[in-house]
Amino acid sequence: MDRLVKRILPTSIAVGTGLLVLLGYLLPVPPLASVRDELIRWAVIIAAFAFILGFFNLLRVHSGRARKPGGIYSVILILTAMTSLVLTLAALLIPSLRFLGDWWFRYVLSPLQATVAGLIAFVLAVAAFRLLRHRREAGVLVFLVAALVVLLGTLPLPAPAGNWLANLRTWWMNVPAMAGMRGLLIGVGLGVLLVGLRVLTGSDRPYSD
Amino acid sequence: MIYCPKCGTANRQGSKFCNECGAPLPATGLRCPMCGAMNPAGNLYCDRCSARLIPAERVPPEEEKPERPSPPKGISLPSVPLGEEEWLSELRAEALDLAPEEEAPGWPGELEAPGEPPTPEAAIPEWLAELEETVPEAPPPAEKPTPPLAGIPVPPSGEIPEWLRDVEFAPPIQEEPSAQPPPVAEVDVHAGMPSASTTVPPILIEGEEEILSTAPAEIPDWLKEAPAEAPPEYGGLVPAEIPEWLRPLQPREGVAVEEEPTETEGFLSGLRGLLPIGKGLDMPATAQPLLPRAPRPAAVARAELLQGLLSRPLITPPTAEIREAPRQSGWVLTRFLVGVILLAAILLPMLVRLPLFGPPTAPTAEALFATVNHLPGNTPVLIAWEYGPAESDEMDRVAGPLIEHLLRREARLIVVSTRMEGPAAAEALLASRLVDPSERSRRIANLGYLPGQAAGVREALGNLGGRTEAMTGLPASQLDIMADVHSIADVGMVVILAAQPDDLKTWLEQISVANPNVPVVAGVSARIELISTPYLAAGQLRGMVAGLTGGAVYERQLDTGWGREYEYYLTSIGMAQLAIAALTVIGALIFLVGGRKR
Amino acid sequence: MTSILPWLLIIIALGVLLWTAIRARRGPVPSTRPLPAFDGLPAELGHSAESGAPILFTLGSGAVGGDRTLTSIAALETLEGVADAAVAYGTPPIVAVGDPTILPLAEDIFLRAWNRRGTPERYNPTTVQFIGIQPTVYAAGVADLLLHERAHAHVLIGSMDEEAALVTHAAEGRGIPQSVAADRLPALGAVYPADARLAIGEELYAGPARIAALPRYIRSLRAQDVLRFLVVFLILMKVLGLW
Repeated sequence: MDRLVKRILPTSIAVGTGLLVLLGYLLPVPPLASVRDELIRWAVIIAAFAFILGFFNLLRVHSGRARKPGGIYSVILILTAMTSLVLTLAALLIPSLRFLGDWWFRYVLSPLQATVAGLIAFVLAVAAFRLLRHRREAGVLVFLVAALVVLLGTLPLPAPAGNWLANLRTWWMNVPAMAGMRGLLIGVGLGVLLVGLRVLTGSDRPYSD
Repeated sequence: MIYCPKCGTANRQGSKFCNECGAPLPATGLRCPMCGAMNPAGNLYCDRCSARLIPAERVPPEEEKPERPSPPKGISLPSVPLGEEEWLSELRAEALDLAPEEEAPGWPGELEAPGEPPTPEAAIPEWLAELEETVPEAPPPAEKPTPPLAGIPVPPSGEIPEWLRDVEFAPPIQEEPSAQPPPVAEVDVHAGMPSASTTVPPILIEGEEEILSTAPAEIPDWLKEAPAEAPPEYGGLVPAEIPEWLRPLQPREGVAVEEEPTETEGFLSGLRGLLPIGKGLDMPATAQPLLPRAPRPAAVARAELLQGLLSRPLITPPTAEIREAPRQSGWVLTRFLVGVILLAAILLPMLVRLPLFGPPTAPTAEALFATVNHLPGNTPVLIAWEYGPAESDEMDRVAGPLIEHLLRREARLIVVSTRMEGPAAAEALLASRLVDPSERSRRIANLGYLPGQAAGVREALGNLGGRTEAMTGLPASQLDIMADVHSIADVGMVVILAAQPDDLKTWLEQISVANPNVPVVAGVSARIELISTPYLAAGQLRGMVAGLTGGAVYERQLDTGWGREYEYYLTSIGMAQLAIAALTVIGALIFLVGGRKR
Repeated sequence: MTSILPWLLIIIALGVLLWTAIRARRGPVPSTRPLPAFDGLPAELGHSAESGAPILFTLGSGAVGGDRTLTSIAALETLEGVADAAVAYGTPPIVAVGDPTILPLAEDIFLRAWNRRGTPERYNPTTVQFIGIQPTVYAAGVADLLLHERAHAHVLIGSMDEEAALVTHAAEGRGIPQSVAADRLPALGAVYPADARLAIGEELYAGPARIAALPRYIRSLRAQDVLRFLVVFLILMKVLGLW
């Protein structure tokens, strides 16, 4: 009974649902298509509940961390999360309070996210500076050359250097970089295909033992 | 099926390796020594050539003698009679063969199963006859014969001892009938001692209540020397000489022997003198230590060591002292220098006009401009707003001129997004580019967030009118701007504003299925320009504006007056790119010469 | 033609998978080539147990239900391969997820691991932590985790873009060893300069095979190899004009 509930039943549901959705995509027959759409709608609803789980997980983790040294940031996070929740609910329930949510998004959340995104450039610059500290292989040389070609080729430098670099950059992006990108994507695509088939055939069961 | 010895998974017959864990599976058959064919493990003869698979001296399983029934777990005495032991049967047979005048020991007969009357005349077994030969003729002067086994009544003085006769039992003592018949013999632990009470309960074997009687046997010569008369204090009984080793066990006179309570439950019911069982525990409350009087020095040393360890205060394991790797040399200095250089590169063009770079060029942006320029007025345009605050600094400058151009062409903008922050980011930009805010309801419909990514896009493309306007909460079908727009088929153009390649790919895939004829253009971040170019080459995109450079070119085409801002941005970005390129080269030289990290 | 291709691909892939499964029953499990990003994990688990400091697993921003689903599933499979050992050592890792749909799957991995040990009460609900849904916010949160949780080592396996540089930078600053497996181009460009053992592209999908070494994973890799050579052959045929 235990095996039935913990292994056979979830596997049957997962495999059956996956096959129905796949067939719905490959055979666009009305009955199959409507079943597919309905199942996807269910998945979207279940994923929405996962957001609630994530929110509570966030609160649980940071409420525990708030008592430790350096917990002030966890307190700020909890307060910010609760403020966002309250303002969003207020905007939904009382349309006249929508401006509060807009203000919160435009002047608090957006600048914070943009700041963090801006740090990426700085971090990449540090990483590029220390490139040869960690690696000494042929790929590093190619990486170096590619980085310089793209960085300098993007700049609207005066002719003739600017034109030459721009043409080199265009060639590099369209030929070697594109070739490498496509090769990588083909390999990744095959890996994704095999993982998907393993899940569809029930060989892989990330949801049960 | 063959079960894997490692993980227990059932594998198909014939498998050599487990399907689940890869462990080799045990051999599943017997190989015939004659023809080499594989046979199932249970075969005795080969299926092919009928040769014997199992050697003849090896006893086949079915010829083995039946096993003795194993006793119930945890119980030492059987509660049901076992099959009679072979030695007992032989003994019984010998006893049956004995002549009537020969003595036979009484105790084997007492252990007979109920219903088997002992033979009246039993021959003396050989072992007893041998014993008789070794016994001296002279009677033992001081020793009296050992008293009979417990429970056997002592015969009166001069009579043949009970144990010599052929099982002559006293009639059973009538006890109160108990609820359960006693399963085993009831044995008095204090038996063997003459007690004040001469009445001793007889042996009861396996529920046997009747005591079998036999004809008396002849007394052997060596026993005839027994005293004829018993001392008067024993009431006519012949007192036995208690051997020296038995004297310590002799009960003290005058001390009344307490009768032990009889066990009433379980297989030991009927027995007396058992240890009382405590509540839930078998051990007595105060157990005496069972230590030898003089423990060995090694044991004493070990005990002292243990005692010492236990008497130490409890030490909490120390928290893991995480040994951080020593700070890499110049880590802080490197970050500081890189930060300073980047900051200088970004800020300098804003302070000092540096004519380093020429005007930006973006052919794809010019093509897009031309496409939008040919858009008829009042055309509904679906805008997929796929970026959020993290990318808004760049994407607002990509999307801004495009939105403004569409508004200039009197297009009706229908905004959707598969990102949660997308609709809010759209509102922020739309509000800044809309000249007359009162025109908003006539020009813009923000249909909000589409959950489910690709599935949500497909659903929305098929039913745009079924959505709800995010700002007003009204159904889209009730909006004037959506009066003739129900699905993707009613849209004149699709604009995808994407900072991630997945978003662009998702929209292009769904649009190509829903309505492949609708023109699609894109405004993308510079980071995905390379990935987006194939779509342009394949014709899935009619035009594309990429990055700040593309945005600057588009603004220049529009002549909106935002050009100066783009000039600052582009110069700063250019300077930062130059700085990063220089840092890369300098760092490569430093570490090439200085050596890599070990 | 367009509608036949997906069918063809799936049928061929299924056939190859079946063929490798049949072959696997008859012979020993083939080995895989070394992958430094995953080969060092068992040793890191041991060091983590000795030091008492956990390993931080970053599973990326991929969700279940989108384009990044199967990358996240592969990451979860790798995590499952180390879960039993980590639980047995008594130092379960910290797992940071960027999408709440991955959260219950990751939690379930450790719940089952503790159940198999017979001590489900020892499961700590904060083993798996949801950081944030925006990729940059997620990366910043993981960088903060690396600093405050004092992780012994860092493993990044999952779907991330260039924000992965924030995470690898933080780990590098702390001087802890890290393994990175990325299949997205922006992430690869960002993490290549980092001081980390790399698994590039499809090597991410070889992680479960290297860690757990279960026959079904290795069979899948074999099928992947066969399909790859088939694709290369077709491309060459097309390029050479033979097809």
